[in-house]
Amino acid sequence: MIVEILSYIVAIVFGMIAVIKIAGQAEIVLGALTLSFGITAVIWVIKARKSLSRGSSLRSLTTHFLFTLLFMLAFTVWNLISKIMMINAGSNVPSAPPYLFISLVYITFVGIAYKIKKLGEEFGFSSQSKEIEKLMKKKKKKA
Amino acid sequence: MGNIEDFDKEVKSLKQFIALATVSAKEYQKTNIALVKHFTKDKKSAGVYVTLNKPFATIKAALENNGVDTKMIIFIDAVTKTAGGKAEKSKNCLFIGNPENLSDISIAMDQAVTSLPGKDRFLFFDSLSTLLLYNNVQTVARFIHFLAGKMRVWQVKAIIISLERKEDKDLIDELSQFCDVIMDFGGKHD
Repeated sequence: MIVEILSYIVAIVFGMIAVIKIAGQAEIVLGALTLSFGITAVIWVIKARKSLSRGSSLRSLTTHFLFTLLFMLAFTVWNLISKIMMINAGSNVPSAPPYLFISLVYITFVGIAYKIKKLGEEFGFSSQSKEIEKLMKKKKKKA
Repeated sequence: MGNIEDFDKEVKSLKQFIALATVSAKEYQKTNIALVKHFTKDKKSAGVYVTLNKPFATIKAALENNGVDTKMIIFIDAVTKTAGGKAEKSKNCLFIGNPENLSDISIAMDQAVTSLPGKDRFLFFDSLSTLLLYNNVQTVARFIHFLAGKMRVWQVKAIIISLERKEDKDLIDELSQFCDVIMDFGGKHD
């Protein structure tokens, strides 16, 4: 499994280097590739969200993650467009939106972290498990 | 028609199993208690009780009145309504809040079963019939198929309780292929 993942990463890196060499515009090529990964991630998350039960904790977490991905995607799209515009027309693009998008990404990350914390509290059974273990040991001793 | 002794004979050689237990509405409560008591008292196993039928407080009281040590059990209650239908935790029980919320039920089961100490663990799913009241037959069949796969991975002694009803017969026949033991705990069709 690890070898398989490593081979994928190596293949992607070599593919990116090859495309950059051919196209000559490293930033735009990298931006476009990042965008394609982002779009794939959004599609997968939407598919997963559809199959999860309404009102479930996991669906709620997935919704938060979807927003994070969308803000990240918006950040990448803005960066890509601004690079293309600067190269083609030499025009200046407003610099504030990327900061706004990245701030929103971090805000939604905090939301996800909070959701994960709540999930751990709700679905974690370690304290009950420890009590059961103690009880089983007591019963074994008695027997 | 079987009883706990017959059931024990059937599963004695199995380290882990999935048993589908059908029971009449009249015998339902008695059979549930007897099965849980068999695992906690006779086998001294810890387990998970998933209730979609009666609230945790009712089940706990009924089990305790019949000499079952409920401290050995982690309860997952999908009946008791919670604020906004969200999952809530009390000391001995996780309230899912909605029997349609199969995603949270399966996560809760996964976490509860894997947290249990020891290798001899049981999982009691109460009941298939109630699941059918809130979800369509196809969804239930897919859920139980998924659950059966999970139960194999968890290596638990799993019991799925179902009321013996004419309308559930086709589903029970379909599900019997995923189960190791089909046990009829008696009673006429309701």
